[in-house]
Formats: sequence, structure tokens, C-alpha cells
Amino acid sequence: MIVEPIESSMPHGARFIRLEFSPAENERREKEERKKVIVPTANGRRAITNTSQIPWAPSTPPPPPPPPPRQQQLLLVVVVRGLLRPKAPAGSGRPPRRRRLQGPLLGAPPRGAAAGAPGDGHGQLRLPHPPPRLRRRPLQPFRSRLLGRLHSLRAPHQLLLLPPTSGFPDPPYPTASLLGSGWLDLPSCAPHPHPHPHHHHHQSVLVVPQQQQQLTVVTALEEDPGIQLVHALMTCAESVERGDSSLAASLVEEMQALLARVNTSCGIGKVAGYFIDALRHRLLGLGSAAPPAAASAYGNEVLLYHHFYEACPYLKFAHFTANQAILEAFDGHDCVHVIDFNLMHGLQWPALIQALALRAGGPPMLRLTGIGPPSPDGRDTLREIGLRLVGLARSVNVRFAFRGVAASRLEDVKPWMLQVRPDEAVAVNSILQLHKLLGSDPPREPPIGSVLPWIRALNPKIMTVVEQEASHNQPGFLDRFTEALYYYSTLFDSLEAACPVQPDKALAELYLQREICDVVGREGAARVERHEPLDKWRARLGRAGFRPLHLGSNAFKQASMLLTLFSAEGYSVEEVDGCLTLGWHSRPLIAASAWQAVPSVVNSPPPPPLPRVVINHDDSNNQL
Amino acid sequence: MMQFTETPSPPPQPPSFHQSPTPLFSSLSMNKNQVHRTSPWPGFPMPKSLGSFGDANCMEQLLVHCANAIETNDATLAQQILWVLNNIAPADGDSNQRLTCGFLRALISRAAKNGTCKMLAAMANAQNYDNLCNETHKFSIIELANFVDLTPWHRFGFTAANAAIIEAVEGYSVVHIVDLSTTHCMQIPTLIDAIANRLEGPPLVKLTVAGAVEDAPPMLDLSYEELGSKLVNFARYRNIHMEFQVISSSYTDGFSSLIEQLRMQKLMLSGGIGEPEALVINCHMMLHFVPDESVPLISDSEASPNYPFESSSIYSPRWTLLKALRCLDPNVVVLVDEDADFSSNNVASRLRSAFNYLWIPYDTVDTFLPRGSKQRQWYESYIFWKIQNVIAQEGLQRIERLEPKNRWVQRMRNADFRAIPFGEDAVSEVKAMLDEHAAGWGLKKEEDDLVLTWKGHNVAFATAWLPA
Repeated sequence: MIVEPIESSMPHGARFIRLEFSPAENERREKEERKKVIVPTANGRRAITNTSQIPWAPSTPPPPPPPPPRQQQLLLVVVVRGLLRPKAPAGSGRPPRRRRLQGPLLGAPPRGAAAGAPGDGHGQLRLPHPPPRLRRRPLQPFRSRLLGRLHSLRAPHQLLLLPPTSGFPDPPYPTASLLGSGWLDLPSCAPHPHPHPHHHHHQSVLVVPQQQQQLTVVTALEEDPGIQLVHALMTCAESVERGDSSLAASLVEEMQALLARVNTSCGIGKVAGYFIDALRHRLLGLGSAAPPAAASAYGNEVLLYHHFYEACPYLKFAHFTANQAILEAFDGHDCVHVIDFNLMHGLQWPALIQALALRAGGPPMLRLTGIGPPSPDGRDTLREIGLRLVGLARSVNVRFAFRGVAASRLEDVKPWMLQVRPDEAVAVNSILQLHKLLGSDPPREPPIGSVLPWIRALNPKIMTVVEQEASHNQPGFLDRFTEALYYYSTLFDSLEAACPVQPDKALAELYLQREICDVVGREGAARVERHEPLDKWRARLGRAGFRPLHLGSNAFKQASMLLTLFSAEGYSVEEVDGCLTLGWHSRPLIAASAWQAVPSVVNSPPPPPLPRVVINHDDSNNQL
Repeated sequence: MMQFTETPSPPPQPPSFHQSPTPLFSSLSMNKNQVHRTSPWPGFPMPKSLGSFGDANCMEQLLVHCANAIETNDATLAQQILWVLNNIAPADGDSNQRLTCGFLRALISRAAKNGTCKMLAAMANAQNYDNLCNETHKFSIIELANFVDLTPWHRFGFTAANAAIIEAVEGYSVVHIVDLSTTHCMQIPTLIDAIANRLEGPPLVKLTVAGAVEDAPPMLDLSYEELGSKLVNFARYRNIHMEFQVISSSYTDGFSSLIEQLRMQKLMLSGGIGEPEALVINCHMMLHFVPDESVPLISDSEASPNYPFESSSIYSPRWTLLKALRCLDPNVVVLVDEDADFSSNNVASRLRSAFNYLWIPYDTVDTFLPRGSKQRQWYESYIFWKIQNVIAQEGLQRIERLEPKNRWVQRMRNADFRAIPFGEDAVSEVKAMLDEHAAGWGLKKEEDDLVLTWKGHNVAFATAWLPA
């Protein structure tokens, strides 16, 4: 079997990708490995079982372990990659500044644990030394079954410690831990993903710490196909990363069979279905193809966007948080100009126009430049939306001018097209757009490097940035996949809770499905959903000459109030250093921030050009 | 591919901002049919009329749209409008902004009630509203007396009613006053003063009040018994013997126990027990608390405007009360109330009425209370209580069920009363009282009745009635 090169950024990862096995050999190896329930490593300090494997997230950064014997590395990678994913905050060493504490159970990986710290443990076990003490935490009864699973998957130490009768919501499923000096304490001792998810009866392996290098094996029945699906997904993603596409393909087929045994209308079944589709898409080689262009695609996107907008509070939160910042920034200005990086329906603007109409001191002269893709069907959609906005502005006595700029990609827009006047206060509004500028095929630089400077040159009074709070721009596929699985599971969970019966829901989910397909299924320039967390944006925008503006307690109170009134319980607004995030049960999913261009000082050298590695650090190693 | 879309600026607008409150009313009649309008931004469509009357009207429209969005569970639109309103209606703004802020808060609590138990959380998150949440202030007698004297709002009714009562009880040596008022007998001292000075000498005054169990502002920090003894003392200083009785009774059932008691007393009197007395029923801005036909007769928790109650078979405590009062054969019934219509079961329609009425107290307050004063806080929280009750409450909890003067006149006629005109004395006394207040207040005589106005808009009416 020839493994096709896949995108992977394992710095030393080539050895995994070059592996070539014949199918027979492959099978033989698998069998062999399955026999080894426990594989003691050379130094005897860790062991591997091939029982089902569980991804999880330690909350403390593990120090690098001694390198495992090379022979075991393939297996180790299976265990480690992604599953032991959370790492130390990249480079910065900054402590988390989030207002709300997150227990490991609820815990997303630390912000800033995004990919990109060079050499941070690809193919290596990273273990805390000395290990932290194990803590037992109560399970959260309000969490959905799905999230509960994923969380527990990410926190196996809990799973290991809780006896089956302790109220754990799921049927006991196979766990394994490793023995050795302090091994039990390590959050990083994840069980092995089972390569054959249709084997329903697994052994659970629990570790008794007192007995060095010895295992007490506790058997338990594993029947839950949902759990098996997650395990299979992780194994499949791992094999994709490793380049073993035939194994991945067969896993996809197995998972498809497994899907028949779970409820795919909700919970893990639904999410798994989307991820399986995305994996299949990728394995079929469609990943490098450009997203389907043309008429229907854009029309669909607008439709899906609208339904997503209605079905859950994320986009609404984005709009009124951004509007709040823009309204306050425009205070006292008589000529104001909003540049919207993605006009869509223009849904964000009626409220702002209305608020400007009634602001103290009378309304300003408002100009709105709406950027959007050219209409494929010959209609001038931008103009149609502009005309409606003009009508609205007229009805509330706001002097208003609209200008549409049709561009397929944001990087095609040039500053002169925006016709910014020297006397006007400019607001640049980017809702879920900037991450699309992070990708490119080498040797081209990612467009963000050229877009941010011209935004800054416009000298905007404010730039509002809303981005997904996720690390979907990681070079390693398994990392990205795991993060995406967790992120979208949470998102779907919130959708299910928020709108139990709503016609919008199916279409809103399709909107997310497209994102999943992009994150998981595409590579290179075709992959545009390169979500990065707030910390990374903060650093990037800071380097590009922007300084953060505090969104203010007003925006926080208001967002909280509007959410409390109109959304399901479970959403939470948090303030992090002047930025607002909206999340589901303390997992932030979307982040809003506001920025101001730092004026260039005359006679001082211009800010140093952004080095490519900084702009898109992650992708620089990304392509094979 | 690059396309540019230019959309020209609209033509210059006629200057229509920052007008006096007059346009508020210019739109009142034409707004009546617009209650069920579709959302203001359908594909963001905004009705053409929005914004063409100035800020106040814009705010009213936004509030109405918001109310409709909340009623139809249109969360998106409701959120957007609430966002706008939050930004344009600061709690410490001008009178229109404060008025809008009051309605905004009421809509928030209405929305919170539509959901689960989100009320507290939502209110806690609402901004800048802390200073408005003082409706529980309990007045001392002195505070309340001063408070009521600040504005003709209540004094108008007191003055007109007292003049009518003095006239009606002329010659009677026993006067029985049944005081159904929200102001805790604040009218009585001046009435005692006037009666004490009458030519034929002071009568025995019996004062009966309904000790309501429900709390509606303004609230007093002492019991009716204590209040009664103070009034009795006051009367004694004026050489008037006064008997005071409190009858526990609730407006919810049309004061039925009070009526029952009065009927017993009347029976005893007509049976020759006790001295003949002049019976005066003084209704001061309280009868609108009594449920009308639109209140379903079910428990509070189930109360809902959609309750499928046959309108023909409705039991109306308001109607029953008036009939019962008629049966007491009183020497005079004085009915004073606020002249507005809060009786609709449609919240948007009530919102319009209330918005177009309650701007008045916000508009007047600058003439008699400085910003930041405690009294002003009490005063505005009192108005807010009304807004809150009209907008956020339903069923038996919604007690601010004002009806306009003409409807009360009809009710009284149907209950077999006939109107009697106010005398010249009453008119001149009211005029003299108004002279003590700001220039915007005025007095209108409509047929037999007196109407208090502010800048030409009806505020309250006073009517006097005899059994037909």
C-alpha cells in the first residue's frame, strides 16, 4: 500500500508518512499489536494497551518524556497524537486570564494552547514531572450526554478513578492506564483507540498505583456504539495523519456501519455523521479541490447563513456586540463610515442605523461600504441590500450612502476601492472573516499579511473582529480534527438545547457542516475555515499595529441580558481582557474584540514587516 | 471580478427632530389601527411612518414593535430592538428617554416572564436601572402629604371633589364619607377644614376606608388604624367629631365586604336605628383597580388574556360595584380618575395608550422637582410602577385598568346614576389651586365634568353623580 502524502506538520513526522505496508503486512502488524495488551517500554515506565483509546485533555502542561523506543513509536503516536493534545500555552507562558475558571471536566484546552509552538511534542509523550495529584471532581449533571462523553473522554483520570457505580452517566467503557512512577496521576495516560470498533467487548484496564509495573485488569462490557464511534473517528483521523489512507477508508466504512446503530438525529450520532462525511470527502481526494464555486453555492451560503443566524445566538451576539462598540466609537462624529467585510443580508445594520438615528446629538452622515462576493446570476445583490438599507435610513432620517464592493475574496479588495475620506470616522467590521485570510499555497504568503497593513492604513477609529474561538488552523491533522470534534460537538449540543423543534435547525446545521467539511476535509489554499483563538488574534493584531479597545461593561451587561431573555439556559457570556466571548456551558465558542489602529508616528521607521512565520506560523511547516 | 454598487444619498430630510411633545398626540388617533403591524425590519423593512414624527414617536414605534416581537416570540427582532432601545433610552436622559426607558424595562420583564424564571437574571443584567427600583418606598404621612401637593395630579381631584361634597351634604348633621382612594385619605384634612367652616356648624363625620390588602403605590409607613387616629385628632382640633372605621376589603372583588357592611348600616338606619346621614362615596383614582369585563375569573397563575371565557357571560366586579353603590342610595358619588384607556387586552395597544399618556408626568416633573432629588426618584418610580403594571402584568395582577372619561360616564349612567354639574365654587377653587402650579396645567369644563389638562392634553377628570 502506498500512503499518499497528507498534510501534516509533524516536524519529524516524515517517518510516519513514509510508512508503506502491504495490506497483508498491515493486517499482520495489526494482529500482532492487538495481542499486546500491554507493551512495556524500554525503560519500563509506560505501557500501552490496545483497548479503546480515549482522547482527553490534561490541564497542566506535561514536560517532555524520555523518547520511547523507536519501534513503538507508531503505536505511541496512535496513543499520543491528538489524544494527549493539549499542550503548554504556546511560547508565551502567559497564565490564562479568563475570568471563569474551568475545571478539567469542562475544560477546553488552555487558550493559546494552539498549535504552533515549534517542536512541541509531535510524536512525543509529554508528561508532567513530577505528576500532579489526582483530583476527583464531581460530574456535572446538567451536561448533555454527548458533551459528558466528550469531556470524559478528555479527562480519563476521572474516568479511571470513578467506579462504575459512582453515577457516571455512560456505561463503563474500556479504559486503560499505565503504570509506573507516578503514571496514574498523569492525565496523559490515555487508552488506546481500538482499531476495530465492532469489537464490542473490551477489557477495561485500571491501574493500581501501588503495584509498580503490574496491571490490574478490570473487565467491563463496552456496548455503546456512540463511544465506539468517537474512538473510531480518532483512530481514523490518526491514520489519516499517518498517511494510511486505506486504513482510514476502511474505518470510514466501518463507522458508516456503526452509524446505523446510533441515533443520528442528535447527539454524537449526528456529529459523527458530519465528521465521517468530511473524512470521506477528504479521502476521496476532494480536499484539495477548491470549494464548489458558482451560483448555487453562494445562494446556498446566504440561505444557510440566515438560518444559522436565526437558530442560535452566536451571530446575533456578534452583531450587537460589534454594533455596540461601533456606536460608542462613533459618538461625537458627524461623518462616519462603516466598512463591512461581509455584508451578507446586511442584518447587522438596521439596528445600528436606528440607534444612530436616535442618538443624543442627532444622527451622523453614515456611509456603509459592503463587501461581498459578486452575484453569480447577474443580479446585483449588494445593490439590492443597499437599496433596502437606504430606504430604512431614509425612514429614520439618517443621511446615508451605500457602496457595494463585489469581490470573491477579501484579499482582492484594495483600499482605494473603499473611498475613505479624511474627515470621517471609519469602522472596519469583520465578522468571521479574518481567519479566511490565513491560508495559502506556498510559496505565496497568506493574505492576512497584506490585508492587515492596509486596514491599519485606513486608520480606522475602530475595527470590530469576531472570530470562532477554536484552534482549527493547527498544522497537525489529528490535533485539528480533535479540536474540531470537540468544538462542533459543543456547538451542536447548544443548537439542540437551544431550539428543540425548529425548522431552521436543519439548515443551521448544514451551515456548520460546511465548516466541518472545510476544517477536516480540505487542505492548502482550499481550506479557509482556519479558526484561531483569541490569544492568537490578539498577538497577530498587536504585531500588525492595532491596540485593543475595551468592549466595556455595557456591552457585557447587554449581551448577558439579551441572551438571558431570548436564549436557552446554558449560554454564557464572559469577558476576557476587554473582549467578550459567548460559549456553551463555559466553553467559549465565539469571541468578539475591538481594535484601534495605532497611529504611525511621523519620522519614525514604519513597523517592521511581518515575518511570514509570524503571520502564519502554523502553515509555514504545513505543506509537505 | 470587481463590481461597485453606489446607492445615492436620500434627498435632504425635513428637520423633524427635537420637537416639543405635541407631536406625540398628533399621532395618537392614527396609530390605533397599526397595532398588529408586521415587524419593522422584515428583510429589514421599516414602516414608512417610523421616524417621521420625531424622536418620541420613533421610540414609541420601536417599543410597539418590540412588544409585538416579544408577543410573537420573534427573538431576533426583539433582541435587535431591545439593543437599540438600550442605547437610545438612558435612565437619566430627557423626559422622552426616561419614559422610553421605563417601557423598555417593563418589556424586559414581560419578556422574562414569557420565558422561564429568567426575570431576576435579566433585570440584574439590565443596565442603569438600579435607581428606578424603589417602588417599595413607604411614605411617612408628612412625606406623602408633601408628595401629593407637588402637582395638581391628585390635588385637582381633591379640590373638585371636596367642593362637590360640601355642596351635597349641606344641612346634614351626620356625614358619612366612604373614601375609596389610592392616596390614603390625603384628601380628608382639607375636606375637614372646609366642613368645619360651614355656616350651619360642623356635622358628625364618619369616615370609612377600605383597608386594601394589596399593595399599590404610594405606600404608607403606618397602618390605617394609626392613620385613622391621626385624622380623628386632626378633626378634633377643628371641633369636628369624627368616627373612623376600616373595613378590610379588596378591589379585586369590587370591595364586596365593604359594600356588604355599608348595606347593613343602611338597613339599620332605615330601620330607625341611628341618626339619618348623608352618604358620600368618594372615588379617587381607585375604581380602575376593580377588574372589568376583560379580566378572566381564574386564579392569578392561570390568568391569561387568551382564556376562552365567553364575553357574554362575564362577571364584572366593576359593574357590580357601581350597581351596589347605586343601591346604597348615596347623596353624592364623586368619581375622579385618570383619563386614559389601558383596558385593551393587546399589549401593544396598551403600550401605545400608556406611552401617549404617561409622557405627561415625565414632562411635568421638571417643573417641580430638581434632578437627583429623593422625591423625584419616588415620583418617577411611581410612574414606572404604572408602566410596569400595564405592560408586564396580566390577569388580576394588572390593576392599572384605566378607562377614559366617556366610558366611565357610560358605566355610571348604566348603573342608574345621573351627572350633576360642578358649581362655580368648585371651578374657581380648582383654578386657584392650578395657579399655584406650573403654567402648563389647565382646566377644561366638559358638559358637567371638570378635566385637568397639561399642555392641552387630558390628564384627569372629575365627575359627580346622584342616583337617577
